[in-house]
Amino acid sequence: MYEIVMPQLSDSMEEGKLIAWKKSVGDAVNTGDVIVEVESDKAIMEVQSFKNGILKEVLAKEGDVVSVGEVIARIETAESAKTKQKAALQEEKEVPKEQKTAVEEKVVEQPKPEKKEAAEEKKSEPELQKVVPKHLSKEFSNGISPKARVKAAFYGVDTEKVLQKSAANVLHVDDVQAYIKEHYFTPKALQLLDEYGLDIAIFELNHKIDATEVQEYITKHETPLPKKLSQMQKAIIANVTASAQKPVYHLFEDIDAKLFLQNERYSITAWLIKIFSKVMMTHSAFRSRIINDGVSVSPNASISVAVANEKDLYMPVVKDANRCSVAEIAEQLATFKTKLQSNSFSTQDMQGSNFGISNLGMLGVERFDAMINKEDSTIAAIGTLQDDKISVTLTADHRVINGYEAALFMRDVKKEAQNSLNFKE
Amino acid sequence: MLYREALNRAIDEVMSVDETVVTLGEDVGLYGGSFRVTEGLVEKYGEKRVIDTPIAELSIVGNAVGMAIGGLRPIAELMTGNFSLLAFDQIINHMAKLRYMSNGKLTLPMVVRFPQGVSKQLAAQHSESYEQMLSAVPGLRVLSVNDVNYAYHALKYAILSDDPVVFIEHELLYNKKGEVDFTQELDPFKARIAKEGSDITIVSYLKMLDDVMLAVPEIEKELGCSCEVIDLCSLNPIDYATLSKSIEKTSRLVMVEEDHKTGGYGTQIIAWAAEEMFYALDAAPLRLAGEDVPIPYNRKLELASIPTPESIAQKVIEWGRKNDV
Repeated sequence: MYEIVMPQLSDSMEEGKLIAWKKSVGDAVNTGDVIVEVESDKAIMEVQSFKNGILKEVLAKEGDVVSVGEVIARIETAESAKTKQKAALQEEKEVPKEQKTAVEEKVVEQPKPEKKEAAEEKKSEPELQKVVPKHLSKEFSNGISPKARVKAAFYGVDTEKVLQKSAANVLHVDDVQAYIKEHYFTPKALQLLDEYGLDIAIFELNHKIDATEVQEYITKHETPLPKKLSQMQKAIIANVTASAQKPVYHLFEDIDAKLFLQNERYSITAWLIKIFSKVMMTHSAFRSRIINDGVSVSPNASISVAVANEKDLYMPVVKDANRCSVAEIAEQLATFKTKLQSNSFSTQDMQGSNFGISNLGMLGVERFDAMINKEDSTIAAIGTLQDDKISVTLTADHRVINGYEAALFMRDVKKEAQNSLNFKE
Repeated sequence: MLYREALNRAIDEVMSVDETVVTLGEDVGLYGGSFRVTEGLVEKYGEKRVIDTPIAELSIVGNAVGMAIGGLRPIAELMTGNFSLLAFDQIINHMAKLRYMSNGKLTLPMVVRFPQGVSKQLAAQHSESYEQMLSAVPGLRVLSVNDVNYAYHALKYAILSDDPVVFIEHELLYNKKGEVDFTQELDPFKARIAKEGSDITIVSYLKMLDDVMLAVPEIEKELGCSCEVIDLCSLNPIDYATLSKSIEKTSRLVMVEEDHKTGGYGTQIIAWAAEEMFYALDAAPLRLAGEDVPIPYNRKLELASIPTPESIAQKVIEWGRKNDV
């Protein structure tokens, strides 16, 4: 059973007035839900639940003045329901008895709320007395770890209070930390601290700190919101870092784009994939990649294409592009776009290429060079159209392709771009 | 490269550049060393620099002390830790003290190396560990290395150092495989973090460290925690800085060693933690060591007398559960 007590909302607060119940007996309660409003000597505050469960009992009515630390409500959590079942089976010592009576009473109480109060007040005191010595007696407690003592002393926390709340035999530093968190912060405030990776030590712990106060700190200090890297981002980082290790060189070329313009039905990327894949078939080095101690040459030309939006970057592969018509290539590029939008690329989509292409021409980039994708040996970076020409920067891995081969390759690509036969389909 | 090959390489490299380096001991020459650490050296450097001696440990170390005083850099090999006891007068009264007692007029740039510990059914007179005694001798440096790379670098450092060094090996480590980074600059007095972790600091050295590493996956699985494993490497001086940094992080300390529990080497680490790290600890430290019995010959009893991967895992898990790890 999880107990909600009258919180100490400021250092000077000794008792609080119960303003309004926000949940009734029998209601389901989620972590962070407001259970009750109480008034301290300064302000009205909301008391939130730190656990999920069902509100089983309320021990004070609206308008009552209750001492700090006194139980005002009990919530049955999944855990406590379990232990109760166990206890019923085993009939052990004090704890189960308490729970039992509590349950029995509840049945009697509900129809007669007036009597309940009187009975409750009597009940709650001896209960507390029972709990305290149980944890502090040597028999049950192995004590407090040195580190927990230091932490408690640092924050001025009374370890006896923590022991009352903890079920552990020995008080460890985590118990103190948990106590401090629960005691001085609202669940929503803790959530914020967690999100922003803030340490509780930045706050002066002499009152209950709520989400608004944490938010104020965040706004005032312009605390950046840390974001974890997605799996995708991690993969990209690994890829480009590996790519940066490759011994590369660049060829800066321009390709005649007149025929591309005359055949606008398909995109420049589609045409380029068609032409690159065709030329790759006569330059085996461009179909090669290094695997362990050897070079493996693919029988066909597969080309990876950089597909990106503001968020993600993928390098899906047009497989065996040399066997595809421009129409088929264009169709594949279209599916890549759909998959990008729906985030539905599979790992298979990204495999099997030897050559990459990245086109930023449509965004107005004149010329750039690209990082070679994964195991590819080359990548062509395509710039924007200018004076009927487009810039192509070829980045090649010198371990696989030497400059002479690359020059021959680009010469053939330029030739093919002017060959109108390619564009008759 | 094997552990013994790394040691061989270290001796070989130093001998090839420094003519004052000699090695002596039983069977170090023609036989290549009882554990093949000095293999091939007599062929390369001749019998004057790789010296086979009689079975007389006190005279081996005594000769080495004399050589060191005379300006050589001797490496004395003893066949096993238990036999080093015969040489303790030379090691403790002479090797460790002459520099101090001569007000620095004498330096003893020498190394005494020997394997120790439980191997396999070598019984009580061939299986014991003496690092606790030797670490207690001011004036000596005691290195005891688990890692192959560290073995190479630490032995090389020991030979070239002007301090007298006791270099403790373990019979079961000689065939351990590992990579050696020959270009590395390595401080042999700095502890090695064998595995990083956040919840338990496990300190060990020599062969026990391998057993700890074998036990760690089970511990981490059962306790749902991560262990940081520290290889002390140097037993005197001790790299307290690395230890305290780790304990500050994990708040929990486990010490694992093969020698006998009473008066064993780990008492120093635990005592230090109690003195210096008390308020950083979130649980009482755990110390796993050999039983206070002569090492039995019977294999089952032999294994029962020292920590094994299984017993380490079991005891750390038990301790961890008790301490809410």
